Amino acid sequence: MGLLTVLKKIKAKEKEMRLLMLGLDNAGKTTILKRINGEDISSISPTLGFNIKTLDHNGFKLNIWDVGGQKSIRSYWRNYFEQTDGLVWVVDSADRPDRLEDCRRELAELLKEERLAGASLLIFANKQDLPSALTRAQIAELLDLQSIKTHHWHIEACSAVTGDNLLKGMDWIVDDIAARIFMLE
Amino acid sequence: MTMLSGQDATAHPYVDDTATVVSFFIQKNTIYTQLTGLVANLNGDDVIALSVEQQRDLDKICGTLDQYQEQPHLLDPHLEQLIDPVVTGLRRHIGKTFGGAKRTESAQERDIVVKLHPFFRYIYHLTKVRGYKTVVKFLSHEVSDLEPTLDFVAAAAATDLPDGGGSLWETRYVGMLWMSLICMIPFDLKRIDSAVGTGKAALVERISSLCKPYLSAVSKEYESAAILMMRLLTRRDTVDVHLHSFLDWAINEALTANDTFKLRGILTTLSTIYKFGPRSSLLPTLTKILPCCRLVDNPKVQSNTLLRKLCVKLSQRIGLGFMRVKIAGWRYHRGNRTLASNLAKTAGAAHTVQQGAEVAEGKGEGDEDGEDVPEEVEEIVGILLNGLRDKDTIVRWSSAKGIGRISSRLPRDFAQEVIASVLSLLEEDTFDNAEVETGIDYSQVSDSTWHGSCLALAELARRGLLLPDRLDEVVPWVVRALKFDQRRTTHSVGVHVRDAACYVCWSFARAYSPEVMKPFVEVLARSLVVISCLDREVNVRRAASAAFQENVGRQGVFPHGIEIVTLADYFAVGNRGSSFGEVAVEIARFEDYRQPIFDHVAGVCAVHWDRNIRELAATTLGRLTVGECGYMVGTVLKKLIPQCSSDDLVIRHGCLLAVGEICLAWADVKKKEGSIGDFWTNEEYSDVILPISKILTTLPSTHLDGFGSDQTRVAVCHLITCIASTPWPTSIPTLPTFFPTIWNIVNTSLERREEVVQEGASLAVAALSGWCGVEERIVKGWVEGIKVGNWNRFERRGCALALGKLRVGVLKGFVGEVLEGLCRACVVQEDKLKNDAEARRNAVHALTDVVCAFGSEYKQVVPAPQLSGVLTVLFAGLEDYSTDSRGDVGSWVREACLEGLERIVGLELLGGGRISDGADNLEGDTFRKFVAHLCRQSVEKIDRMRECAGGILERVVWWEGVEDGAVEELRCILPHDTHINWNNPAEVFPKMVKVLELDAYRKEVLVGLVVSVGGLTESLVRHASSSLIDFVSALPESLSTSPAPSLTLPTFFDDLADIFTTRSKQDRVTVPLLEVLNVLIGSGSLGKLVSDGGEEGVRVVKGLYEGVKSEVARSKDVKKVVAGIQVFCGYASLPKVGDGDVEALRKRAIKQVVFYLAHPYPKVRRAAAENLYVVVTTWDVDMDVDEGGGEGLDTMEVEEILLATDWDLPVAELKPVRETVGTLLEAV
Repeated sequence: MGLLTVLKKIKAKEKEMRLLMLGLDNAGKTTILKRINGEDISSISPTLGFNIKTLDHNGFKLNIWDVGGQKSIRSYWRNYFEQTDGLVWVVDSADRPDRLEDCRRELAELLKEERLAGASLLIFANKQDLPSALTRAQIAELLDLQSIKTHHWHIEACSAVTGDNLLKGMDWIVDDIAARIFMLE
Repeated sequence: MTMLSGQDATAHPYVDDTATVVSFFIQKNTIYTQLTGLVANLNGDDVIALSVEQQRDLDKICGTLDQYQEQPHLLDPHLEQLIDPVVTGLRRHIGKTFGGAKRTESAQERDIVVKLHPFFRYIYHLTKVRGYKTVVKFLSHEVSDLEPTLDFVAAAAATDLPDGGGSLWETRYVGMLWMSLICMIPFDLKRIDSAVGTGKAALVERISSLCKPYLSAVSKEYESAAILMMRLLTRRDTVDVHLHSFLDWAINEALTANDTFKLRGILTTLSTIYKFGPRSSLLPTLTKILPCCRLVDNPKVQSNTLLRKLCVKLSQRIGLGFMRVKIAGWRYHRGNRTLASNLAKTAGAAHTVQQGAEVAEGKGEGDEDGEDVPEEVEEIVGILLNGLRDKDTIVRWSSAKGIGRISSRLPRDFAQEVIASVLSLLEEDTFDNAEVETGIDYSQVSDSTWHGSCLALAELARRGLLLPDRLDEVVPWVVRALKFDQRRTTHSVGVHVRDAACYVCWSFARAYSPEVMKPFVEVLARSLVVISCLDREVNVRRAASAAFQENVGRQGVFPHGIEIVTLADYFAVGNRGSSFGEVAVEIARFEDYRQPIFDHVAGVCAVHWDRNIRELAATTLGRLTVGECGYMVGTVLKKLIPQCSSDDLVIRHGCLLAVGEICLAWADVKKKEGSIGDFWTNEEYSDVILPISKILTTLPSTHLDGFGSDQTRVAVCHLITCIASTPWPTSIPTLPTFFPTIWNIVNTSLERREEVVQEGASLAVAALSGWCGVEERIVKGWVEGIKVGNWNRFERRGCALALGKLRVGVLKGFVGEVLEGLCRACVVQEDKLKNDAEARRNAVHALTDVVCAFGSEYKQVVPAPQLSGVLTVLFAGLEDYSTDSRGDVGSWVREACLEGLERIVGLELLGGGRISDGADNLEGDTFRKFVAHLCRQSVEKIDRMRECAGGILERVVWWEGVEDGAVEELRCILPHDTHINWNNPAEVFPKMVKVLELDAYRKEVLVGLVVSVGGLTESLVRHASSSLIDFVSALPESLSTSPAPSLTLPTFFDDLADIFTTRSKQDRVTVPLLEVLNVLIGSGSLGKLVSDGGEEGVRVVKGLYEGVKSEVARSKDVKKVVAGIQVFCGYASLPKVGDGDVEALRKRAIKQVVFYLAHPYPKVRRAAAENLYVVVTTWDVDMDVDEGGGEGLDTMEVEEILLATDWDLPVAELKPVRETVGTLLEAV
C-alpha cells in the first residue's frame, strides 16, 4: 500500500483527470489556463516553470498541467504516478506558415509517445480575435489532422482573450475522457 | 577516477525497474477472437460444453488478464466488449431454463449450471483483476431476470462439478453479485414476486435464505452474499420491514460466533449496510451495533488481521452514521473554482485577482451550533486512533481513512483534538536525550504507529482538515518521518513510514495555497530532494520524486523546481546506482540543495547498515568532491575522520571508504587545477593529511583482528590504495611508524583467509608500488611466501596475488626470481595438503601479470628459456583437474591459464606483430597448441569453463595478424559476427562437433567431447552424445568414396583408441571414454567398421580392444570395470562376418566377460552376468533365424545358469560356475 496505490485509488474515486496543455511557445497556453481559471490575463510572460491547476467541471476534477517553453518536457508526462488522460494542443492561428509547419511536426512527434497512447486530443485554434487568424478548417488542413488515427481528436476555434469557445472545447475533451475511463454511476 | 569502480553506477545490479509496464491493452484482438470462439457455444438453442481446446483458450484469456492485475484501468475501455457478449448469452440460457412457469427437471438444470460454469469463471476472473465494483456495472438488470437468476444461483448452490471437479463457487459468487444489481430495480418486489398468492415463501425470504448460509462461507461467496444482502435490505420497500430483524440476527450472530469465517461475513455485511443504507433507518440502530465495533479487542479478532480491519471499518461507518452528512464549514479550502463559472465572467471586465487562499475558514462556524456530537463518537474515534497503531498496514490504512472522513463531519474543536491525538501518537515512546542532535530520541518509537499517523495526517490534509496554523507543528514531524529509518541488527525498518511521509507532502501540495506553504517550502523541498535521489528503496525515491513534482507544479515556489523535476524523474531515480552517482551529484550543483545532499550522503548513507549503500555513498562523495572540494575537505572530511576508528563496524567501514574516495577526488581536483606535488595547504596538512595518516597508525588491533575485521581490513586497504594513488607525503616526520604500519597491515591482510581482503590488499600493493616502491626485503618475503613448502596456504595465495601487482619499476630487479618462484607455485602437488587450487590460480594470474607488465618488450626482459618455461607451466595448468570437497577446483586454475595464455600469446601481436604457421616457428606452434586446448575446453562439461574457453576461442580465432591454415578452417565454423551461448549445450555441441573434421584440433576436441558425453547433467549428455552420434554416423568407412572425405570412420576410431594411450589411467577421461564406446557400439558404428571397413576397419577395432583391455585390467574402480564389461559385451555381440580375426576378438571378449563372473567385487560379478545374459539371448534370436535354432539348447543352459546363480555368494563357490559357463560358451 504505497503512495502509488493510494494515488491510483484517489484518482478513480474523486473522478480526477489529467490534462496536459502543450503547443509551441507563444501559442497562448498560459492565457487559456488563466482564463479558465478566472485569473487576470492582462500581464502574461513566457512560462518558465510549469503550473498545475485544479478545476471542477461537470462533476470531474481536472488537473491541468501547463508546461512552459521547456526544452525537455518529457519528464512531466512520462511520470508514471499519473496517467495523462487528455492533451490540449494550443495553436496560434495567426502564426507564420513555417511555424505552423513546426507545429504540425511537433504534434505528430508527440502523438508517437507511447505514454500518451489513448489520450484524447483537443486542438485549440487560438487567437481567433486577431484579423489574420486562419479558420478552423484551415488549421485542421495545415496540421493534417485527418491523418491522426491513434487518438480521438477535436478541433475548436477559440480566443483566450474573448473566451469564445473555450468552454465548448473543454466540454468535448472532458466528455470524451469520461466516456473512456469513468463508468457512469 | 574512483577506486571502488567495481561498484560503479553502471555496473550495479540495482535495476529495480524490471517489471515490463505496458500502457494499453495490447492483447485486445487475440482475446476478442478467443472470446468470440467461446461465446459461440452460447449462441445456439442449447449450451455446448467447452471443448478441451476451448478450456485451454479460457485459461489463456485468464492468464492474459492476470497481466493487468497491477494496472487494471487499462482494461476499462474494453470491459463492455469483454463482458457484454458473455452476459447476453448467459441471460438467455438462464431465462430459458429457469424462467417461465414451466420449470425443467432438476437434472437438466444442473447440466446447464455445469455447462455455464466456465463463463462465470471468466467473469469472476474479470472481477478479480478489475474489481467487482467496476465489473458489476456491466451485468444486466432487467426485472424479468430476477427470479430466473435467483433460481439459477439456488441450483448452483445445490450442485458440484461432476467427477469431483470441485465446487461451483465462481458461479455462485458472480451469480449473487449479479443478483445484487438486479435487486436494485425500482419496482416493489411484491409486484414481481411470482410466489405471491401461491403460499410459497416471499421473494425477500427466498433471497435472504439463499444468502445467509454463504455469509459464513470459507470461500469468496461471502463477499457477494454480503453485497446482495445489503442491496436487498436497503431497498425502499424492504428497509423498514426486514432490515431491523436482520440486524438483530446479525448482531447476535457476531457476538456469539466462534467461527472466524462467520464473523468475517457478518462484519462485512454490516459494514456495507452502514455504508449504503439510508441514514434515517439506520440511526436508531447505531447504538446497539457498537458492541460489534468493540469486538476489536476480542482476542479472536486481535489475532486476525482481516477481522480487525473489518471492525475498524464498521466503526468508521457507525461513527459517520452518528453525524449528519455535511462538509465541515471550518475546513481550509483552497477553492476549486469551476471552469464554467470562471468562463462565465464577462471577458475584459476587471478581474478580481483571487489569491490562492480562499479560506472558507470561520465562515462556517455558525452552522455547527445545536449539533452535539454523541458520546459514542468518542469511543469510535478511540478505536480508530488505536487502529493507526495496528501492526498490519490494511488496518492502519482503514483507520486513517476513517479518521479523515469522521473529522470532516466533526465540529472544529473536536476535530482539532483528534489531530492533536494523531500528533501525540508520533510522540509516543520518544524521550529527551541531550546527546542526540535534536534533543529528542526517536529510536524507540514504533514504525507502525508512525506509518499510521502519517497516513492519517495525509488524509486530514487532503480534506483541508489540517488547518494552516497547525503546519508549524506538523511539518517538523513530516520531515523526521521522511528520514525515518530504524536500524535493526542487520536491516532496518521504516520504508513504509518514508513512503507515507511522501504522501503527506503530496497532500500538502494539493491542499494549501502557495502563501500557506511558503514558510515550509525550503525544508520540505530539501528533504524531498534528498530522499528522491538518496533513499535506499526505489519506491520511496519515486514517491518522493512524485511529491516533489506535485509541489513544484502547484506551489511553484520550490527552488530550482523545474530543473530538478527534469533531473530526478520517475525513471531517473529508478536505478539506485545512477540515482546516487549521477542525479544526486547533478542536483548538488544547486546551492540550495548542496548541503543537505552532502550531509545526507556523509551522515546517513556512508554509515548505512547496508554495505552496498555505504560503498555507493563513498563513490558518491568522491564525485561530489569534484564540485565542492572546499566544503568536502574542510567540513565533511573533518567529521568523517574521527569516525574511522569508531567501535561500530558499520560506521568504521563506511567512513574509511568515504575518506579514501574523498582524498582521491581531492588530489585529482588539485591536479587538474595545476598543482604539482603537494596538493594541500599547511592548514590542511595538520587538519586532514596528518589525521588521516594517523588513522592508519593508530588503528586498534581489535579492529584489525576481531569480529568484522574482514570488512575493516577491506576498507583500510581501500584507504591505503586511495592515498597511495595521490601524491600523499612520502615522509611524515611526526609519524615514524607510518610506513612500517602500512606494510604490516597490507602483509597481514594478504595472509587472511577471506578472498575479498586479499584482493583489497593486493590492490593496495599495486598502488603502493607505484607510489613509494616496495622494499627488496618485502618482495623476497613474498617470493618465500609462495613456496610450496609453506604450510600457510592463505599466505601462499596472498603473496602470489601481491607479486602479480608489482609495477615494472619494482619488478625489474626481481624478474627472474619472481617468475621462477611463481612457476613452481603453479605446479600441481601430489600431497593433498600442499595442493591448493587458489594458490595455484593466483600464481597463474600473477605469472601472467608479471610477463604482461612489460608489454611488447617482454622478450627483452624475460629470457627465452624462462618464457618457454612460463608457457609450459600454463599449458600444464590446462590439465589441472584437481578436485576436493568443493568439486572441480582445478577449473579455476584452468580458467586462469586460458586467460593467461590469451594475454601472453597475444603479446606477440602487439605493435603489428604476426603469428604464422611456418616450419620451426615457436610462436606458431604455441598458438596452434593453444587453440587446440581452447577447442577442448570449450566442449567440456562445466558451463563456466565452456563460457571462458569459448569466449576466448571466438576472440583468438579472429585475431589480426594470425596466418594459420587450421585457424582459417575454424573461422568457417565460428564466423566473426555470430556468437555462441557457450552455457547452452544445445547450441555448443552441434557446432563444435564439426571441429572433429580438422586434423589439427581433432584429438583435443575429442577428449573434451568424450568427457561431456560421459558427464552427469542430463541436457549436457543428451546434446553432446546426440551430436557425436550424428557426426560419427555420417562418417564414410573409407577414403575411396568421393569427394575425398577429410575424415573416415577408421581414422576417427584410431584417434579414439589413441586416447587410451595418451590418457592412460586418467579415469576422468577413460571412464567416460568407455561409456562413449558403449554409445557408439549401441549406435552400430563399431559394427559398421567391422562389416564395411575392410582390413583397415578390423585393425582399428582390434587396436581399440587392446586399449580397453589394458585400461580396465587390474582396475579397482567398479564404475570403470562395469563400463569395460559393457564394451566387451559389445565386442561379443559383433556381427559374425566369418573373418578369423574378428571371430577371435569376439571369443576373447566373451572369455574376458566370463572371467569377471568371479571378480572379487559382487557388483562386478552381477554386471558381468547380466550383460552376458543379454548377449547370449541376442545370439538366440540370430541363430533362430540363421540356423533354425539348432543350437538353442546350449544357450538355454547358459542363460539358466546366468539367471539362477546367486552372484553374491563367495568367490570360491562361484569359480566352478564360471568354469561351466566358460566351457558351455566355448562350444557355441
